Amino acid sequence: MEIVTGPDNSQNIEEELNRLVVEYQKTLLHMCSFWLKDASQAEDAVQEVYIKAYKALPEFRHECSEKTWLLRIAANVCRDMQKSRWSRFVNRSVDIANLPEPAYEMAEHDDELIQAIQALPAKYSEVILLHFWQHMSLTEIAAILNTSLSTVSRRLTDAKKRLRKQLEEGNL
Amino acid sequence: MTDQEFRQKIERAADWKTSGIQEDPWLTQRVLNQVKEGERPMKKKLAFMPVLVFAIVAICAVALAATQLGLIANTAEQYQHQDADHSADIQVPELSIQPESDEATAEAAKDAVTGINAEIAAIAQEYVDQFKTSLDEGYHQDTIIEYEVLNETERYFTLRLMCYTASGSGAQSDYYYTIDLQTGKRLTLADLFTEGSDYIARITDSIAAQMKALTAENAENTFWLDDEDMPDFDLAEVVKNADFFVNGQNEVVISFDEGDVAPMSSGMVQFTIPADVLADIRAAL
Repeated sequence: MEIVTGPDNSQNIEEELNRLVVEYQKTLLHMCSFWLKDASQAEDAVQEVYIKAYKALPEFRHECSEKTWLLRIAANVCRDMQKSRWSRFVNRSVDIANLPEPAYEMAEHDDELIQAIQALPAKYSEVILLHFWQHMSLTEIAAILNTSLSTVSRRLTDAKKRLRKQLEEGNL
Repeated sequence: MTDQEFRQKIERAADWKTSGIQEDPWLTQRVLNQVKEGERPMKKKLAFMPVLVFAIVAICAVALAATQLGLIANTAEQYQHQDADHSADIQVPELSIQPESDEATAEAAKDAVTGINAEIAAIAQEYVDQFKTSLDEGYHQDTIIEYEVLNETERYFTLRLMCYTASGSGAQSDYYYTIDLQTGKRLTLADLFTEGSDYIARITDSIAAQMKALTAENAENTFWLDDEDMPDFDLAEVVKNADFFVNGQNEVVISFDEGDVAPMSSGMVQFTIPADVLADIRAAL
């Protein structure tokens, strides 16, 4: 979708922001929840993502998809939040369990699978989730994580190997 | 297992795990409000969400006007410790008056600055003592004290002291110290209003209305107000003893510690009192 420029640009940008919120808020909340392991911090992060996106909207030239663009902002925001000294101390013992109760009953082994994904080093779990859950291509994941395609490819291969091993050992 | 089966399992599990997360229907408006308010030192800018604490500005100097006071906050003392079960990172600030300050205002500010520094030192010492006890007695403890200067108006200098301690579960307390840069006096909430005005009632009513609106938006936003299990809860009394500061729009912001007005899980809670609620009783600047 083209960003229309002109005398009424601010109104258009606000409408554009709203469209991005409607379309991608859920995706961003989900990924930020896994990155930060906390639903409340994920809400903060998503708000920050959209603030940054709103300010950058006039310059966004669609060199990548909107989803890739927003997830890249989200990855950076979450990385900054994880680095903050406060976050390190406060989140020392928090795990992915710090999310709201799921809205429906799980299928067999779903929780164990999530635990297995979470047990992977972060660089593996994020490529697993971005590729298999968020359906991002390797090229898009490289753009999101600001790394090379070969690095993403290698990480995904390693991640799949590790996860498959855990799943098979756990008979999942 | 094929890639297809792998994908299906992961999708199903991740969808299930995140199915309880709710989208914010007001997010667009919140974002626009934030952008319009401009950048602020605190990460959390909304009236209600739990306050997140982030790393600090160690030194902040105030630009001086001809009759103004210049204040600076430095880290006077530090206490740090790290082992498997204990961590402490305590930065104790101290205010000092810049030499370029107007002489009369600087003289007037001496008592305020001395008093604030003494209070901060006492608070920090308490946290250090508690931490040392945890070392002696062998139980887990994390303690952080940080500070930042909220310098959003030309009139007021506000130092925010952020204290967090966790021994199992965590608790945060914030303290705000505001000095009027034109008079050198430490600001109390009463100083912002005309004598005899009902500012506590006005502020209390505004906060109560905001709480009810937030609960109406989302039933998970719970407060002790109107909680059947808290029949003795008196919001006005809590407001009287709460911390406050004046933001960049010259609005009064009331800050409550964890558990003061809402469950601990809600974290720190702040409410901004809209300017028009208090406009007719604000003391002249």
